[in-house]
Amino acid sequence: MKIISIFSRNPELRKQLEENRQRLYRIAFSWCHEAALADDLVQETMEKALKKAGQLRDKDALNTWLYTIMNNCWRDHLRRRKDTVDIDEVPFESDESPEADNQRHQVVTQVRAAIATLPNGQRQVLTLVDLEGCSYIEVATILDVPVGTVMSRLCRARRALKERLLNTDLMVQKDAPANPKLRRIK
Amino acid sequence: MSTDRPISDEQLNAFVDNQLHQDEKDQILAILQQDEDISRRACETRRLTELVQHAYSLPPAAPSEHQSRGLSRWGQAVAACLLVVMGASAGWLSNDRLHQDPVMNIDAMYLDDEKAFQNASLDKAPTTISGERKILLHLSSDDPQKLEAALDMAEQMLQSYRARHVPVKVELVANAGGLDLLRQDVTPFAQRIEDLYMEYDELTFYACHTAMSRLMAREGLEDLPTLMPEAQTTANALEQILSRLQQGWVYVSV
Repeated sequence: MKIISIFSRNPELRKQLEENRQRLYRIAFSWCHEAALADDLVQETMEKALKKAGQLRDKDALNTWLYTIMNNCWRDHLRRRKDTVDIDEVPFESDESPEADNQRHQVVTQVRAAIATLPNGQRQVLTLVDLEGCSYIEVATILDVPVGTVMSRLCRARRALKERLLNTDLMVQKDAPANPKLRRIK
Repeated sequence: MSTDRPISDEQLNAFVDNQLHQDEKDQILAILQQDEDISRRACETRRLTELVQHAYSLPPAAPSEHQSRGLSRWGQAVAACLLVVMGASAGWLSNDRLHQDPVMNIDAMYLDDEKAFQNASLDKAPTTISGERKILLHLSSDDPQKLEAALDMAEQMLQSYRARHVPVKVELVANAGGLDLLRQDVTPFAQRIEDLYMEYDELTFYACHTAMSRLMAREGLEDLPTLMPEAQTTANALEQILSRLQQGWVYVSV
């Protein structure tokens, strides 16, 4: 790998990008629900990150920086696709084909389908918070919106999901106590 | 925001997402203790978060034509030059591996046909007879990050093989400091262990009896430490590991 590094202008960043590929892909997929498009978004994000490496001043902010780049790629894609509609309000047109051959896939399909109905802006906030554990301030930075907007979008997203999933048995944990108490396990 | 609610949905979200200062958290915790409705809403939000995480824990693999693509056009050019000079470079193979489930790339050990120890990534280690994957996860550290990593690895393996419809069995064997994971009085992951136990029939938790006895002697306890109800005991972890290796299991150290 040393020889490869000689050719690379930024081997350390390259390594970090490769380490983050799976996480980027998961978020990209949660935004677009298309495997090929998600892969394209990750690829584009990584290429832009390598080109803009000089802009990353705080290495601890790598993830926020990468998600910001990916958000821009995603918004560019949506603009090309729907240039007359507010992109934060764009829902999915379709979800992936369901793989309902076991219970896990049924759960996955139902939850993804519910998330697919959320407007893009709400979907992005929800997935950045729930999947990546981003703080509200980080999400505000990534999406370039005020923190208050992050909170209101998250609130609306979760209300909508609860309404959609409340009539299913997904919101009830197995063997849940009659009087549930919140319990932190991490 | 409804005026008849002492805690708004925004506040409750911020609490569940750990976005509040300690004094704000304390205030909400005090209310949660007394208000079942708010406690239920908090639980629903927590449950929703779990469902979202579950829904994307295994996104579909990128299409194959994308998998074979390098990091960038520039990277492809560099790789092409190197391939000419060096032949196939193992380093670039990692690009493909990065598209796979990361848990499949962890180091594993197994016994070959001549009973010699061999190392390979989990996905490359040979499948046991009848096509069933059998994996023994060994945890011997009390480092909380390792305890959690053991559960993460077990779950990711089970999810990954289940998604690929490959029969699998996973045994999580804890000894030495790793016992902390399965001790009812000290484990930080009781709920998670219960959840995994309920979700996956293919997962078994074992605590080393020898290590429990040593712990009892060392700490002057009157009885053996109480284990989580989901855990079984094995006489000796190392004997179990060797026995499983002989039977064709793959060994992974956390």
